[in-house]
Amino acid sequence: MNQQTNVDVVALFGQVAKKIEKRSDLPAITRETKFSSLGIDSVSMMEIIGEIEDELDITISDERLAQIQTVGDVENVVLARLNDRH
Amino acid sequence: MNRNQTPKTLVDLLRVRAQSSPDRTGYIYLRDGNADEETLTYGALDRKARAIAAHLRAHARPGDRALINHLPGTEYIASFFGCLYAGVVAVPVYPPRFNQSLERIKSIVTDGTARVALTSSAILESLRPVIDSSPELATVDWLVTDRDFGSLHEEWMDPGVNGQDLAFIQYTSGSTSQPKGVMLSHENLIVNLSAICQFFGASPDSRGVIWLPPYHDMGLIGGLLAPMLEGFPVTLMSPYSFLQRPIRWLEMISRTRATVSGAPNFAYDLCLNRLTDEQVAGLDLSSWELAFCGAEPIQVDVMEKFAKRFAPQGFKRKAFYPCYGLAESTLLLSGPDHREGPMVRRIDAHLLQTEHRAQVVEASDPNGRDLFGCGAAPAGHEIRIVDPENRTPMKVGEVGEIWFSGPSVAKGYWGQTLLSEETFRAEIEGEKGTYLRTGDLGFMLDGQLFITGRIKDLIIIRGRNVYPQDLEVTSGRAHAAARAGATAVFSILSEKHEELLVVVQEMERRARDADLSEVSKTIREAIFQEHGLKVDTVCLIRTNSIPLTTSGKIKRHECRKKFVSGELTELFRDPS
Repeated sequence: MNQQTNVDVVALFGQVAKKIEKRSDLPAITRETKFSSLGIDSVSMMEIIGEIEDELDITISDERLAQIQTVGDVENVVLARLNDRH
Repeated sequence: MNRNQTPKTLVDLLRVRAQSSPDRTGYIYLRDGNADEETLTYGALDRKARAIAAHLRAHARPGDRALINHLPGTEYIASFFGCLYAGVVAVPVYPPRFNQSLERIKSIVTDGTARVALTSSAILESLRPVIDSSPELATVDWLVTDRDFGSLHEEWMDPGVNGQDLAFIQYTSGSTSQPKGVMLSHENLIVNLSAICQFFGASPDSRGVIWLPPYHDMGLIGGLLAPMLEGFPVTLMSPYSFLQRPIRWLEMISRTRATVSGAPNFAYDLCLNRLTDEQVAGLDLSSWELAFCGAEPIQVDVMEKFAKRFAPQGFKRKAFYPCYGLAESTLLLSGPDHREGPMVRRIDAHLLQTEHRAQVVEASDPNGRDLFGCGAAPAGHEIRIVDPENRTPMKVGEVGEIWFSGPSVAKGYWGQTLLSEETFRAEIEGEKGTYLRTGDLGFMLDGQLFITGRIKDLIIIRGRNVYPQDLEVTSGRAHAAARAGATAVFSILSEKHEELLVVVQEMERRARDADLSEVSKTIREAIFQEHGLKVDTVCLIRTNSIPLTTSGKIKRHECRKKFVSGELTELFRDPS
């Protein structure tokens, strides 16, 4: 869906989630994965997104954050932000 | 503010600020946690509040309720004062996050009989489909405040509210199934704000930093309103911004040379665990005179570690300010003298549990449990420790329920006469006068209040009140194999004294072949989805084996006891 950037947001999400949660037993993550199925809470969720923002040097607005539900939603928002920069 | 000039209502307060110092910045809001600043002077806030009030009056009458459904920020503050300026009772609610269900908002609309809501164009757009399909929400007039009101502010008329009029309703107490809206009058607020400012040693030269959600008493009353009483500026961020990068909190204190800031225990813990030495190296926390901590049990070891870790950055241990309060007492119920630093007592943990009394032990005693003193009641208020069964007063050092009286005690729960009588107007055996029952347990020692636990089944996670009833409903309907109405949710303490959520769920008999790990997973997902919470343990048990009272109500305490001792007829436990 996106040609300008080749960031694998799903993979990045997985790496960051493992780091924040200090867990190796997270289920496999796809675009369809809901946060609820990862066994993390909304506080950790915010931290994961913060880490991704740092990693990619972007800012996601609070309004956007409020609508995120799946890893795919994160990808959409992140790619949209990255594209804004180009 | 000079005592003689203390205003009678929040309307007077902002009017005075706007007239005496219209160009003074009251609020600096950092959008999305970065340097994109939005500032709000008292003059601009007054003007916007007048415009919103004039607009609102076309849709609501004085005394009506209006929901405030905004993300944290200047629109939120302006809408809050817009309600008060219209004589309309403000009802702040959390905007829905992560597409969580709107059950909570619906139940508040219904309970509070709100006919109007103030919101932003962005939120309204995302909520539109839900509003249209929901009978509860479709009856509400949704008004957008982030628009140009032109000269509408000139049409504002002072509604002439007085101290006894309701200012707002706090729905931070109570479950979704039984919402409890705490009614606060202007007098409640002015009295409690004065107490907060006095306890904190606040002055017009103070500077605040707050990221606490403005939907809670601590963020709204402590974070937004108290600074206005003294007229000192406060820098605000959304809780999202803090949670995404906890360093932002300390950076903001460092950058703005803030003198007062605070949060629940978990936030201090998060800073300890998440921040790297490189991140904290450049901070200067020497301006931080008062680091308040409340809203959930305070861990002495977390605070001590925090003080030690940030001492090189100039943090003063003496700045720690453990305090106690709840929505029913407006906000602050007790706090120590800010000049003295926190008082710690090491108490015999065994005696505390078995005999419910506090015996101070040596610092080296391995059986000891450290507790912070949470100070004493503000002037004009009284704290009593009472036997919750017999309603008789307890002696110094004995554990009982914390009762409270004085002008900070809220008027009651909206629309609930009976419950309000029981909670807000309790009487001590053989005495005159009425008290608020807090539902929390504690003791008095050396002139200070110490909190030890709770009578009610309330669970507190990261400073947020969680009602087991709400989670039980969610779990019971999460999966066809789970039996509705046969769930017990409670918390157990981790080694670090954090509350961990446990769900004990009865299975349907006919669902004998259900995949139990699948059921457990579904329950976890549903609870995250609707409440944003992580379940620590799911325990599935045999049909008809959950402990019940004779009248068929779930016995949470007994269920918890049996869970801990392994006496439940467990079919599955995750993690095992």
